[in-house]
Amino acid sequence: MDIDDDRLMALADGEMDGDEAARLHAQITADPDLARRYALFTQTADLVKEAVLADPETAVSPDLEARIRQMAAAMPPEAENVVPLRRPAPRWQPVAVAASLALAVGLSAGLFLAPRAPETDPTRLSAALEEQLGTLPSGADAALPDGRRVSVIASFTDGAGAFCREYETVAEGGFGHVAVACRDGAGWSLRFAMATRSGDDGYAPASSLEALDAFYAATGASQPLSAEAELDYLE
Amino acid sequence: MQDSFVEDIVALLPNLKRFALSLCRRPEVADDLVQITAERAIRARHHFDPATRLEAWLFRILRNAWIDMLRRDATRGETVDIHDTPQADPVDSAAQTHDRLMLQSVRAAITTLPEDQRAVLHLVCVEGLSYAETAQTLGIPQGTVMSRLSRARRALGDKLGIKGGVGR
Repeated sequence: MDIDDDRLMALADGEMDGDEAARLHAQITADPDLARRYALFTQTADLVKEAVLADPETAVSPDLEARIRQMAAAMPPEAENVVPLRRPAPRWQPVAVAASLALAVGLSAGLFLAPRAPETDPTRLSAALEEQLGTLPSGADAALPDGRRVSVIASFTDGAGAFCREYETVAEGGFGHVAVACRDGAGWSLRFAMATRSGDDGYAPASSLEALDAFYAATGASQPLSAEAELDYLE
Repeated sequence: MQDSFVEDIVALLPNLKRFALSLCRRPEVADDLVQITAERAIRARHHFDPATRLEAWLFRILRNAWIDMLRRDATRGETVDIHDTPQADPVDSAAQTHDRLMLQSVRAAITTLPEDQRAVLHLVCVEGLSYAETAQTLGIPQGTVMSRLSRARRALGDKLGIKGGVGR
């Protein structure tokens, strides 16, 4: 009887139990060839674990632990208080923002909104930008009629399942925005925008994007969609 | 005031550091990833489902942080593999030296695997995650976890001279 490697591996990795495991163990004991194939999986698992655990590079320095404790202590302890991006009340929240960050404005669910409602809905995008968000694959860029360039960074779905895109716009002189917009019934709705000053390479330093990271963490964003998965959402 | 959620995360820092190193292979980047992960986790703690394993949730955050870093770090040049840099040999016995060299060769073999295989291998074999937890952590189907895992082990077996025979 042919026993495929997937079953041997599953047994070695503890993914199989009960009668099935017992039967397979018995077959392995009785068949040297099977035993040899099984041994590949048990031996590699043992060696990998031992080698990684013995790696001196994996030690956590006291300094790293201290930094994390310090960071945790600086954050409000209560769960209700650790979601600044969803709280409607204050206009600004001191998210840990790097010095290089010029300006951060979040626009999701009233977040960071000025108490006075603006005259036009600031979460609506221009038709040209909406069209690009609906068609450009991630990694591509295009010119907008107002002279800016838009490049789409990634696609993901938010906690509610809406299709969202992170994109950057850059105007003359390198000034621009990193933004997130999600598709809703009426087109695209801006959820997050942050002004950036791009470097020569066209990218803001990663350290300036902590507010965006916090936004992702707070809104339950999915992992970036693969190019293939993204296609299902594009027009 | 002792915050048990923070303490739980601190207790898992070695696991996070190991996984970070297995992804990025650079200690200083690994430390950054661990710190970003801890920060995001504490910030998003209300998203954590206590019915699930904290480490699996943290690994997922770390993996996302790594993807973000790769995506944004357009200026990143050649990566320096930590295993290319020989470390000063501590003085030890012949037997210890043999073991140490053997484990070094295992680590060197792991670093030659593609990143997607390394991640699966690490989560299952080192961290003891189930196939289902690994699939969820990496956002891939369980069948993909198994095929990557099996390929990674076959490649390691070849490099390390473990004869597993010809399976399917």
